[in-house]
Amino acid sequence: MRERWINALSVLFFGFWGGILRYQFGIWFNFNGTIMVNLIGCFILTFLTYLFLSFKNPSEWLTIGLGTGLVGSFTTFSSFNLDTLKLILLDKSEYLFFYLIISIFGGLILSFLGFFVGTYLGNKLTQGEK
Amino acid sequence: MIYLIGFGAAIGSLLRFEITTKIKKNFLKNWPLATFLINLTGAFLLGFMFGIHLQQNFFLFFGTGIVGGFTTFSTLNAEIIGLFNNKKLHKGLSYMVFSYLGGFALLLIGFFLGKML
Repeated sequence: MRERWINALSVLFFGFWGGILRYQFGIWFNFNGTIMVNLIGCFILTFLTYLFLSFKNPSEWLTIGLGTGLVGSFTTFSSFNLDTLKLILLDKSEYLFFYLIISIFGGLILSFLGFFVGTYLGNKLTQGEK
Repeated sequence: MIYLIGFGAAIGSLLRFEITTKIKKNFLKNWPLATFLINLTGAFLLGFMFGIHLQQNFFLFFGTGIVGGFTTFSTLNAEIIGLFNNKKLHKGLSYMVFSYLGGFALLLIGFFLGKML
């Protein structure tokens, strides 16, 4: 029961900052901001997930706070779709094509990279213990 | 004003966390239903808010904040990679296609619904 509350508080706290960071990127880079938060977030999420997986006792509140809270809130699926609509309405079809390709395939590639680097680093770091 | 987004995003994240733990996603094995439902619902809601021209501060709190924090792009991709890694190519691909097509379709429905109101 106590753990549940700690996890929930952690998600609230980190989710707060993830949202603010995302907003800042949007202010600075407009449509490119959504691309950047989503791609950076994809890398960090799998990196952290698979890095933490290789540790014996990762603290739950921290993994949930960083992964679900910070990165989950930082990246956004709904704004990605809204940007798509906005670009159609603005009739920017060339940029829309770039936006979709880089988001969809870039997201996959960076998630894979994060997974790869996280697993590799996790193995390296825990090698001494085995 | 920026804190408005922060508080909204905190609420959205907690909602996502609670729903995901309730639905028990079985991260690497099964179809990630929780994230799928969250993302599609969020896309619909954001399209709706955009369609009815929600006043700016309301949009920042409910749209950018709550719905933006509720939906997630990183978990979607992490789950696709997880499925691929577990040799569940079909599930990964269908999850990917349905998420993107469904998400945009629902955003459009929300948008036009909002415009009509």
